[in-house]
Amino acid sequence: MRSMAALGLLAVALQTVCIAQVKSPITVSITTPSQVAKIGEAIRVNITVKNTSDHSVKLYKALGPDGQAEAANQIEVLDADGKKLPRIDGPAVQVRGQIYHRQMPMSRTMIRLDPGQSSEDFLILSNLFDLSKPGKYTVTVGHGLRVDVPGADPYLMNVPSNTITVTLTE
Amino acid sequence: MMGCDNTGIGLPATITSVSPSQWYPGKTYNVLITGVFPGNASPTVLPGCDYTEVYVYDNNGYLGMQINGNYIGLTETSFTITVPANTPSETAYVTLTCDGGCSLAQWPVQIGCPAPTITSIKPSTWFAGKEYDDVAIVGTNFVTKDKATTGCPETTVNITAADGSVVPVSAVKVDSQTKITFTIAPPTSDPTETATVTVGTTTNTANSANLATQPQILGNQILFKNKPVNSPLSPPPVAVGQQIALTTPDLPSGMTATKMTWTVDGTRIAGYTPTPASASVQELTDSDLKKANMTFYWVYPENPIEVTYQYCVDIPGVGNQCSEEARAEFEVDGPSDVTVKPSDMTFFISGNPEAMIWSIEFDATATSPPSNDGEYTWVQLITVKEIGDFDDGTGSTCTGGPGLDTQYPYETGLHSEDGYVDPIDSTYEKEERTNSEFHMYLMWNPLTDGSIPVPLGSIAWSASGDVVWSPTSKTWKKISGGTKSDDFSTQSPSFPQWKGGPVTPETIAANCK
Repeated sequence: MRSMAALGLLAVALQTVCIAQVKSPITVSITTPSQVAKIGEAIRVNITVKNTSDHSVKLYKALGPDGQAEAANQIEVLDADGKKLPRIDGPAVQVRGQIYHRQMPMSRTMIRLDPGQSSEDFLILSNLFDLSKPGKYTVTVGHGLRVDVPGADPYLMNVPSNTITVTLTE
Repeated sequence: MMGCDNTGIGLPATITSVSPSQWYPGKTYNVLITGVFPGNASPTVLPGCDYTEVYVYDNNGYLGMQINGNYIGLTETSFTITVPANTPSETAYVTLTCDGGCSLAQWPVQIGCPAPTITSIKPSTWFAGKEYDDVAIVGTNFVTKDKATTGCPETTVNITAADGSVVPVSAVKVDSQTKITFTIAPPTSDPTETATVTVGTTTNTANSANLATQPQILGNQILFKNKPVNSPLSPPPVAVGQQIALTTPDLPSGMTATKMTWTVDGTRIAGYTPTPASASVQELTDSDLKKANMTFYWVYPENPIEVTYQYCVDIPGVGNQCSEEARAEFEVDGPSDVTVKPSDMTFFISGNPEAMIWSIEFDATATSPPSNDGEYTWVQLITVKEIGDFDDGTGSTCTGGPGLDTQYPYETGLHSEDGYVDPIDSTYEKEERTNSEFHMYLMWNPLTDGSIPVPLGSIAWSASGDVVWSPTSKTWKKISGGTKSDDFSTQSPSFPQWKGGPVTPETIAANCK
């Protein structure tokens, strides 16, 4: 039993090594038309995913029209102090006196992207984070690219974007 | 004969009746005369009058009839007469004479047929294209079949329209001397005009009837795209989901419909209005089926599907008249042999970001209708039940739906993929169990003006998962879960309906307990 367990751990370790060596076939870039905006304005972030490989890839995308890019992307917003802002779009739950917002399930489909092709979508940042305070915020998006591993569960590879800044004023 | 001087013969004779008093040509009658007939039976009463005789005269003089016997009693007498077959219809007079000369008394009798007269005709307006089985003429002097003779035939009915055309009649029956019934069916092509009814040989224009164009013939049409499509015409093929707008011609000026009735076979609806906010089906109501113009949609392909239309109008002086039913048979096309097969049903845990992830793909096959362009679209409804357990031992159950799964519309084509991601966060929850049920609908939307998507079928699938946080390995562990699917069902597919917009975190959060 012990040797079997050791073999299992070795297999997991090898898989982890393989996963780590996978090169991303896509690049992710973000822009915003609202680099400087007033508090309360809708902050739109455009996300472009480009297939830079020599083969087609499939991307997650929200089921339905554009504008729900958070369904397939992890968004990280840091304030001027480098503090990570929590999401506020989910229901609030209180655990040990602390309020959390649970992100809720979302349906999403997959789209095919041929080599050289790009996919564009967007999200409204101000709907997802508390941007009620003036200041400078940095935004990074990570696209969850599904990677299929023969004989094992698929996993999501987080492909990060460039970082943009948004300055909010009173 | 008339103008005889009776002064010298005492009291004049009188006639009080002659029976029968109507004689038909070619017939022989024993005629009884009653009255007071002083004659040779009492010569003293009529001095100067040796004998009395009976003659029959017409307007042209002595009719030349054979009088058998000339004996005259005191109060009555009789004679036999055979009316010549060629005698015209006229009034003649039975005349009592003195010595074959002076007329002492006379009594009129009718020879042959008296001129018929028409008092009324009911109904007196006949619509072209419609049959009237019991038209009644009321009048006088009609000759019934049993009284008809060679010189006095059964009364006939002839009708001539103002344009000179003869309007055919049938089943003419002379019920009595005062009533005739018949059937008339003016041809559909007859215009509105006056017609003259002739009874026997007499034309009585005072009681002319009216021929009217049947209003339902003018208006009894079903128009599709402003063109008549009722039988024997055929409408162009249509498709399920195509807007079917049927109209009818305007009624003649001044005419108002008192009733309009449509029948529409097949499965049909008045509308389906999907928007991101809501989607509902509008049924075709009885009220919709009683309008001059009607818009609806067929849901399932079928051939033929029958549509009928009828209306009624109140015509002044005529009453309520209903049109013939106009019928149209539509060929309703639609996709056939539709199948949807699910595949690639996976479930895994993602570490970065932390989430449970399910996937499913749908591949559809279908034979598109030949006559219409259209597109296949997908719509998904969702029912969510989620349970989160937190590391302090508390937990919450959140439910949502059934409702629209994210925003509408979805993708088009015969292939769709759906994934479902449920974020899990080890900072505040240590176990999560979730179970979500979905209905993915495959719809067909013909690309014509005003069309709606109609359902071809749906497939139920579910995503479930039970994961726990391992403090030791700092990872989430899968206890159970997966993606399951039923078979695609095309049996009586229903429309996906929702309200309140998509199922969102907010709507689910509102139901957390």
